[in-house]
Amino acid sequence: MLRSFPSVTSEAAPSSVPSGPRESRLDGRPAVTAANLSVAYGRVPVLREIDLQVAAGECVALMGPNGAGKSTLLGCLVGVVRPACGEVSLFGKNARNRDARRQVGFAGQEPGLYAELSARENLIFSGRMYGVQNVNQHVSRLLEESNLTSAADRPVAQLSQGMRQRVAVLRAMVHQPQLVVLDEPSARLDTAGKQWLASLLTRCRDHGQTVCFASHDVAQCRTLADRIVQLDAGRIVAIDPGRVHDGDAWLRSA
Amino acid sequence: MQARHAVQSLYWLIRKDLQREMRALHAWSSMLLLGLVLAFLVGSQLVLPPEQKAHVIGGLLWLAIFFAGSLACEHSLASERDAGCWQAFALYPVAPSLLFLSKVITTNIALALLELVLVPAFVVLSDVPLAPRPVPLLVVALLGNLGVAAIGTIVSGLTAGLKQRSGLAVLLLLPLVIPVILSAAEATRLLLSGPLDSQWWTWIRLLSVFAAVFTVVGALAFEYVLEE
Repeated sequence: MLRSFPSVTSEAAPSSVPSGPRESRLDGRPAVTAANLSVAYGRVPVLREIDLQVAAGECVALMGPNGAGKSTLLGCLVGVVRPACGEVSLFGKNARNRDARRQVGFAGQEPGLYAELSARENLIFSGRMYGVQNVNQHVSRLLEESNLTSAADRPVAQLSQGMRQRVAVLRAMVHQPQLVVLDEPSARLDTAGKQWLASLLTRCRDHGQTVCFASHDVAQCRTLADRIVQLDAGRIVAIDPGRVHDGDAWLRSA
Repeated sequence: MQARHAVQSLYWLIRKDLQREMRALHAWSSMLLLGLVLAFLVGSQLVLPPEQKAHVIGGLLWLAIFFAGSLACEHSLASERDAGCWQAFALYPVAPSLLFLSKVITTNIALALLELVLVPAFVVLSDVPLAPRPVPLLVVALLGNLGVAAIGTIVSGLTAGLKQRSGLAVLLLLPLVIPVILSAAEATRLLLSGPLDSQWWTWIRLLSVFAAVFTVVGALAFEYVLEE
């Protein structure tokens, strides 16, 4: 299991929020606010008038068929996709603001790792870009806790898809962001990998981090998410309650 | 504190690019090979009296630098896209201009390496002493490299997501880089043909303006280049 994270040079350290039922963890502050968000690629509309608010400490899953707009919505939330209209704010700041970005960890569908560098070098590089203190020790600890020590010094090109995915998720979290955004994080993971991911996201929750992830795995969403946002053809068609809020019972089923 | 982090980030970005290139030899080896082939072609086909050779060799040298260097230019940002690291790269909490600067410096290093190979190769193969005045030649090279690298990085960013980017990048690059190549070629010709006069300084000033304008415009526009 993951232990504590080191300090980072970013302005705001994540606040400690108690684990347990959703209502006791959430303090009502919005972590993410998307208002009237629309995106089109050429003439093809991908997102249409999306309004979404995610509270700090909340875990939200995005579901929907291929082409529903999940990845685009996540891209808008972190600021790599510019919406045609509408606005996204992260912790009260514009999503494109550098201070807001410092608080975001994002792993897209592509692993986002340099194949020529080792897993350790990738994580250290990312940590350095975010100003993580004692980054070498921190990365060693992350790799050890994720059972990746034996593969840590091999070039990423030589790692299995599952190992790459684990490293990609760790890369997004190496600076302990307040907002973790993952696009289909379990896509290449085996059963053990999915359990590792569940425990990692649980740890995020315990640290008061906000999590948004896209997935096709209904069971995973029901297990991990406080809310499940259903997208279809670029619109939010339903928002379902996620896991059963009976303390940490859901963890046992993860 | 922020300035220190910016300088450190710049160092880590450049180090990462150099590490990747040294391990995988993505573009630089092809660039050096193409440069040598062009130098050999020029050397073998250029049958002119020495004075006329000295008159045209500067332009041919800069054409060879451009065509071979365009491989490094095209690769500079496309490598982030190819590695699937574009989004992570765009999200690093540093100024987009710093990301741009890191790529410009890496491409400058590639072009300097190319020139370290090409200048002696041109001297040997064409029998024209290219470095009778090494310091002015160095000034021309530094300014020319900066202009080519800045334009190349912008074009690489604009074409990185396209399937046919290789041909397109050179096509886009060529008209933009002509003022830089022309100024560098003229400055090189003048320094080979006699003492440095006011005409040489005019070309150097022009080269400086092009390099500065493209670097500043690239740094300011890079935020939009990074968008999906």
